[in-house]
Amino acid sequence: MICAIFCSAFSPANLYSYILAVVDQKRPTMRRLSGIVCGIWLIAAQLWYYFQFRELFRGAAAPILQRLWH
Amino acid sequence: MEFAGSLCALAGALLLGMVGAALGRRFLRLLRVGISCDTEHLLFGAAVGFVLLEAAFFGAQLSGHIPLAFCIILAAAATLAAADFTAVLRGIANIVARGWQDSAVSRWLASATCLVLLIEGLAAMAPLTGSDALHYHFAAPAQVLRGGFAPDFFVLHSFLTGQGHLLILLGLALRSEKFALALLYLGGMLAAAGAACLTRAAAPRRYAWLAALAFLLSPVVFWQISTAGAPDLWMAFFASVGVLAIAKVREAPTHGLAAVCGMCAGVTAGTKYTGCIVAASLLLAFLWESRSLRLAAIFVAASLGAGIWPYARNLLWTGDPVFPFALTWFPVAQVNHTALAALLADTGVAVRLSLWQILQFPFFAAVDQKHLGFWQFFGPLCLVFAPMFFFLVPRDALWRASLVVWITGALGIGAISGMLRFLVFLLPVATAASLAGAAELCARASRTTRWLAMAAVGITLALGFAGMLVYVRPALATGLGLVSRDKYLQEYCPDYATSQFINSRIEGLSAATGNSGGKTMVFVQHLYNLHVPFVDGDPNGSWAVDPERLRTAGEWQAFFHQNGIRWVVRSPEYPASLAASLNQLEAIGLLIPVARGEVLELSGMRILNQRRVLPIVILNVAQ
Repeated sequence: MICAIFCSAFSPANLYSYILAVVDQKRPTMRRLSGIVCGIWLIAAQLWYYFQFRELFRGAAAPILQRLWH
Repeated sequence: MEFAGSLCALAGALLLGMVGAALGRRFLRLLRVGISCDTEHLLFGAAVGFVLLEAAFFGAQLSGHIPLAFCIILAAAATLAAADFTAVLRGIANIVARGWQDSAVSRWLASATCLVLLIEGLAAMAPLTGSDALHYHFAAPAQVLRGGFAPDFFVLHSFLTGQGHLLILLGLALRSEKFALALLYLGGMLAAAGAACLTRAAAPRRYAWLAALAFLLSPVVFWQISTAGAPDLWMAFFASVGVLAIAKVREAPTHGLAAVCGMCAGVTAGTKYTGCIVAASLLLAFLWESRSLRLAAIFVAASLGAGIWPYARNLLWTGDPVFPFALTWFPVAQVNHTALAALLADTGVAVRLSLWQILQFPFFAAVDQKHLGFWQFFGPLCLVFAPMFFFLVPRDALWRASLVVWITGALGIGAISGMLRFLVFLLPVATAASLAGAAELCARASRTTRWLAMAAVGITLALGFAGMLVYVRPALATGLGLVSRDKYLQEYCPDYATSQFINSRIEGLSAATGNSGGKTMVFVQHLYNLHVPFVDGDPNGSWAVDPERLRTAGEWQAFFHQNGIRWVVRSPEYPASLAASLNQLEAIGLLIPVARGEVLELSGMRILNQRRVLPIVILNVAQ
């Protein structure tokens, strides 16, 4: 994936122009589709990231919840 | 009094920062490097100024009187910088004025950044409690002040200290731990400014403030800037200025600019061994941009001038410039395999990660579940907005330089050290790139996507701010003078009670016998608060204490005699690899118990605040 990013980044015929075309305002359907993909990525990536720290959050939240409960 | 001391130390560090910026500004003029932007000029000046100061401080260590030599350097720097000091003040005034005239959102974000900086600055003024700092970041410079510029094989980590540690040495030489801590805080503040400046070059100003906030509110950063007591954030600052400078090379391929880029890379490498990876990625980006071997040669020469000194020192003292990591190429007479194995495990070199784990490093997401902790928590922004930076941000020189340094640096750190927290050196660059990606997304995407992107940033900042308040609360109370220094140390400083016990009893015993000579061999990890002459006896951290060579009573007697050791402290037991032989010494009367006691000591990580009663025995070495 990293190689793909590098190749696409420095190659003249790169993904950049394609993405721009996708997001371009002149193409509303594709724009909507790319918006949905972007939205899903924004949510999924964050959930995956925070999920990795679930044990820590649980540990940190426990004393606070306990204090609130009492 | 404590609060006034905190303010004075912070003001002193800021003043030295301005002197550094003015000194650097003068040097930039000599190099004929012209920069039109005020913020960039200040940052370039500060970077170059501190490279020069650190190189001078390194030389000053060799003198017989370090505090005096440091004062002379400071006076000389102030004299040289005097002519440019007004220009620095004018530059700061311009930045403030522009910020004041900006939009309401930008003003609000700027105020929030100042508030966070103030909280973190005051928290940084609490007494030192960081574990690594107590073991070597502060303990090694303190030993240099006590014993002069000489190798200390009893503290293996002392060979890992570099240019950044000279700022700690400066603070301690001026007899102010607070000033040393304030100088480390200054590095964090400048790194945040670097992140903002990088973002500003590619996005509107409000995103620059968001980048500074995202950087400052990342748990790794508020730990490093407040209580860690390590110079890592200085490396982050130099790396971010290096990227800014490299981005200008294609437009202005001058010798002076190449030298500035090289200085930033060199001093990053000179602060910590891991910095070599960042320096290599800066060189790669420089080669990509300049495409000139002549300029690359100047880059390398400037890097060597800025950062070769700790490596030259190690080569001179041990024969291995990266002691003890390159013993295959630079063999030494005696290898302590116990200490070597412990150091390799501690620095992550012994662990080899899978390709998938290494590929997660550029996204700051390679979380090690076996050693889960907030020191791995950089926040999700670099992961979330990385694709936007890769594909949406216009591909100019800054984009290329940021991409090369961020990706190759992160992959290098993942492959060589495998420790996620070392990515903090690249965090300003990655945060700036990610926020530039977010800005580009918000400029192009629909309202919903824009809302989702801003929610991602907002949630990260809110969580970070809450986390920061919870984390720095005790340190902040101490920095403000609401809690006494001693009470804070007793509650949060590991091995503080043990160190106090050892200090008082050894001084008492020495006074009782009328002989204050001789060292104390201790087996505690945190050495900074020991004020009596000591050697670290823990074979995991001491190259000089090799269990394979210390088995018989004769070997121990020779070792004690050779190193002038008069006292041994058992707390609570000896290290497993030495226990049999040292217990044998007690049994045959070569170690005689002379004092006993119990202290209530922190157990495990200080954040958990768990305690245990620790029995301590002080033994006299029979002559």
